[in-house]
Amino acid sequence: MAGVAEFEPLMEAYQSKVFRLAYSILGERAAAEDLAQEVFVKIWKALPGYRGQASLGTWVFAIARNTCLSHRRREAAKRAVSLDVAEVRAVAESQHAREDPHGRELEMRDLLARLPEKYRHVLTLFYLEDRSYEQVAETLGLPLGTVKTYLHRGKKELGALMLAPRKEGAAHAVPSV
Amino acid sequence: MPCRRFEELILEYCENALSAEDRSRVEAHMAECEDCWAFLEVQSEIEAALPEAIGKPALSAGFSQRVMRRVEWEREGRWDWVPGVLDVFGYSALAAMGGVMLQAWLSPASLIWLATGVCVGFAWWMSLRLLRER
Repeated sequence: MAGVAEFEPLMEAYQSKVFRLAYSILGERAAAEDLAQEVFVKIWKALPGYRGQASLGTWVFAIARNTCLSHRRREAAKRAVSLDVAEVRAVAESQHAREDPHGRELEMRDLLARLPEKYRHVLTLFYLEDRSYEQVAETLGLPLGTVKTYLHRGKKELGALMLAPRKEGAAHAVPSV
Repeated sequence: MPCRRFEELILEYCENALSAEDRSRVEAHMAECEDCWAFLEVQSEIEAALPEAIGKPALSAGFSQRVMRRVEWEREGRWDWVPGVLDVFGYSALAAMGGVMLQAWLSPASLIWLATGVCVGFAWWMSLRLLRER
């Protein structure tokens, strides 16, 4: 097993990034923290087998991603339920959401929940990592170009989702001649 | 719909990722293109709302200590119950040995049982002690 002397500095260096990665995938602070803890226990167990074949960051993020994605798979059934709830809430709140800043934040969260996972992960991580394409690429193990593509597709989709009820509302407001 | 060749540039404009030259190019275009201007308005709204919606979650205090406790538990604590169980076996062995000695005292003919009991009990006790220490 790895010694505490090797493990502790590694954990200090990567704990926030691993946590943000978990948050971008899970979307919940407490769950992300629990999973980050899980990730570091796994890293501690796997550390004696690390031979420097990949950079330490790449290796740490690969373990973190696999742990988070396995967790997501286990929670798949629950997630389906929570997305349904998010959708219903989005419809119910979309009207007044645009009128106050807190509502706008809620609306954006709901719209974000409706995006395909890969776009949502990139978008969330991009803002958590202070708009660094490079950091997102390293953390998610994706090429830089793919990060930009997912990010921009996600934003375009968000724009379309945001405008859809407004266009609908405008269409209903036009009096028939 | 924004102009195809400006769509990506406008998104990067919102992300503040353009060079000064590209920024000026995008601004000049938007001044005369209504569709691109509308696209920019929507994307600016998203750009302003997303950081608030995502928030700035942080690890709670004491995260490192909690991980280290988990690691320690994985390393040692998980088998904490083993010495206790070994003790129970050890004391049982002593009790069994006592029983054999009592029997030998009551019946001097079975002194052979006494010797066997002492040897088996002692060997059992020692092996349990060694296992526990390891």
